[in-house]
Amino acid sequence: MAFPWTQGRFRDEVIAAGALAKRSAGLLELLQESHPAYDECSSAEVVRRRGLVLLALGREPLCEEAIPAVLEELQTGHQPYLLAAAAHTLRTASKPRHAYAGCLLRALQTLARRDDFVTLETWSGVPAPSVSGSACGEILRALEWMGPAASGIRPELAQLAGESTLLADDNRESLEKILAALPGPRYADVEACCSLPLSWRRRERAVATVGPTSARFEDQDGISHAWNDLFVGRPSVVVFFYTRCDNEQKCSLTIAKLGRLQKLLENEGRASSVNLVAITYDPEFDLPHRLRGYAESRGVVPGEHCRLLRTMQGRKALQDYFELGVNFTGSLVNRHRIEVYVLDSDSRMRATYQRLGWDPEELWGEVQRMAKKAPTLEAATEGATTAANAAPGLWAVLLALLPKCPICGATYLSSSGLLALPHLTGWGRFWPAILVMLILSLGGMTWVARVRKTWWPLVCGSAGAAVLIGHGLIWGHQAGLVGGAALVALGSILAVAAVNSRWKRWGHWALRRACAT
Amino acid sequence: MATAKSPKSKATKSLKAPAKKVAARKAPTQRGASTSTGIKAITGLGPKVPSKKIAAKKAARKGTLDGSVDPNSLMATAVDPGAKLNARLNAIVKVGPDVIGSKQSFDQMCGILMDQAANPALRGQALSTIQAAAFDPVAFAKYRAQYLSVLRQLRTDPDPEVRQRVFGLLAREQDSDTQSMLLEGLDDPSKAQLSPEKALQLLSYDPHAGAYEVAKKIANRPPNDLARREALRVLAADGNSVDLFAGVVSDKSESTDVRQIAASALNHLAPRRMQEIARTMAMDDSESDDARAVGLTALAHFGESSTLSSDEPLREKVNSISQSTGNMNLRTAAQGFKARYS
Repeated sequence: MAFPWTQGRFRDEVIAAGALAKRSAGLLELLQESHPAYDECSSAEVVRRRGLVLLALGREPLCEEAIPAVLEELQTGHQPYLLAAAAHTLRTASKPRHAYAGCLLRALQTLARRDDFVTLETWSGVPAPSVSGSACGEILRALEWMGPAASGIRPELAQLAGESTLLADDNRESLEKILAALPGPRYADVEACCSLPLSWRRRERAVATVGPTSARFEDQDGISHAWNDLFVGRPSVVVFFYTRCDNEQKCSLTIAKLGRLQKLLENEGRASSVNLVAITYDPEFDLPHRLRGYAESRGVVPGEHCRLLRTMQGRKALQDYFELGVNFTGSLVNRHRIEVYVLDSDSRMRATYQRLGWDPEELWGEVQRMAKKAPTLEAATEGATTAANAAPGLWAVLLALLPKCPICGATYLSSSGLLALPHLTGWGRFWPAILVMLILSLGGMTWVARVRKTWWPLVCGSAGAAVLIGHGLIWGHQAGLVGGAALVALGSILAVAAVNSRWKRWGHWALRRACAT
Repeated sequence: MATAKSPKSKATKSLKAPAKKVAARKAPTQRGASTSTGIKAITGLGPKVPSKKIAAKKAARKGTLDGSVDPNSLMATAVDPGAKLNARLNAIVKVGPDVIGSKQSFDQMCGILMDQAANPALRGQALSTIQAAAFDPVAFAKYRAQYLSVLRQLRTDPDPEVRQRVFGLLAREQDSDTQSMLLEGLDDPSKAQLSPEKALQLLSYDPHAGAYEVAKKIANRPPNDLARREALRVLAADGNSVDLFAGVVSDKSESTDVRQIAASALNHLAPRRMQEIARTMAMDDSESDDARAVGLTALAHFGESSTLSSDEPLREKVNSISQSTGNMNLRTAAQGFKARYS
């Protein structure tokens, strides 16, 4: 049994990770949203824990790999404690860079309306009246550290300083000093000088396996879809969100950007060439009408090529496939990152944009490039796909070659079909056929059992049917599908063995061996 | 590292600081009108409200040219321990949004609020004045950190009314430390600053507060009926509580109002399931009339019209209910259903 992640254990882990030779790797592992340390924590507790890790990262010079995690907090965070911790840690980076300026500006703008006192020396940052300073003050100290590297955001800082009501007097004085020390704008293109490098935002992914084909979804109109129906045939952009997200820089902005991407595609007459898909982290609460309302109020027009989905089956498989950066308390999200995935027309993952903000124009360019490369990619993975698709076919051939009587024919047919169906494109639509074949197969076994008074095949087949329907079809586990189909096939073979005395003897021998072991 | 001074010390230190002239944000007449109501509400005495002329004369004596009352002189009255209570209350009310006109005024008002020896009505009015100013987030932004810090210090105030109000304000700000205190109090009643039902109500403001586990415990083993109701209200946002609500709605031994809370929560979380249960309730003659009325109302307002329009047994049952001479609420609900699906 795993030990619970109490506050004490978490603090010990942070100290232990901080003492390691590869301290950043250990601490960054603890910053992963899906880390079990955040399971069943309230959002406030997640904030406290992540703040501790961020501050631990800043006890030594900040390494390159940790920079996106720190900037993510500054760019999308809204809790004063985490923003202050991130700004404090950023100051331990080897040198100021222009790319940090935009994130610090975002943090300052956020805190200008929701500043709070924080004490970074104490657990959870609960302000102690005697020693606390404001989170805004931490951001301003980071801007001071930036020096000339912050010149790209000079106009915005000047505007903030001009707003007499937004910053506390001491903070406004600090900002005015920072502005006075800044050189004039040296860059013609301020946007370019402050934009974040692509390597911090985007990860190339070349996942050879297709997506979780067992997953089933319900869209904003309450219509059910299988994975292959939605994602096979054209490239897809998949974003994750949930309607109860309280961070306007994450889910709300993500869906608004999806709307912009949709408009971009429509303007270029390519709306039907790409699937735009938003999947909720919170399928229990995000019912179809909520999905539709959330999308429409943010400029997305749901339709055939733009859907908002809730996962009805295969949630775990989906989470594993996308390696989602999310954690939960009960069914509610307690922390998640921004995550956008680009899938090719075979539903294989090609690239992800994580943590930091993404740009719809940039993503559209990515999809276009992928469409051009598609033949090469398809060729590279063709072998693996053929092998994967051939496997069930081989099973069917093998079963077909077994000696048979007319009665057993139906059994062979149904079991081979059962094995093959889950691997066919769009098999999810054929679940009634699977049930019919299953009934046919079990009917044959029952007949054999009654005539031959041999019940093992029927027991085996029934168990297989239960696993196939329950674990496989209803809960959406691939292992359930394969295991159930294998058991049904075994039942079919045993039924054949019961009809043919030689096969029957072999079956009994195999069963005895199995029981003995 | 941050080294800002404590808000408390700031608040008390600046009581004698020199005043700054600040433009009044509200017309004197409006302020006078609200004064009367505010004071009456607090003291029950109903002090004399100065007429426009007198107010203007007084203001003129205090040196303002436009006839408005100088907030600095009002604050001087408000903090003067030798002044009469009504005069101090009046001054605090009149300061109104000008409390954030200068750092000095704000610090002085915080000083009154934090003074445990001060009259409770005076402290309450000081809190109301600051709270009203906080409604303008842009104007209030520069004082927000200090405001939150003052509120946090008042969470352990001996005055239960101040304590409860402060907890309420911080809970609305979704203050994580306050949420932790509330959760701690629910887990261990010896540490509780508020009653369990109040704590649950405040935690329900933030679905991310992590209150579902403790709410489930309280819903199953409530210290009192009110706490159970609040626990159910908290769980109304928890997708994992659908079965719990389905059980409560279907349980004939539960009181009607508890079943109503559960029905509302279930309709929020799983409308189709609620529709099935509502139908069962409406068809069940052994159900209480009030519960059947709840079921029929739910169907009339939130039901799927395609399903319900073709549900002949239900429509017949509703017809017979609407023609019966039984409970008025039930008949009204049946007529509402008929009007929608006829």
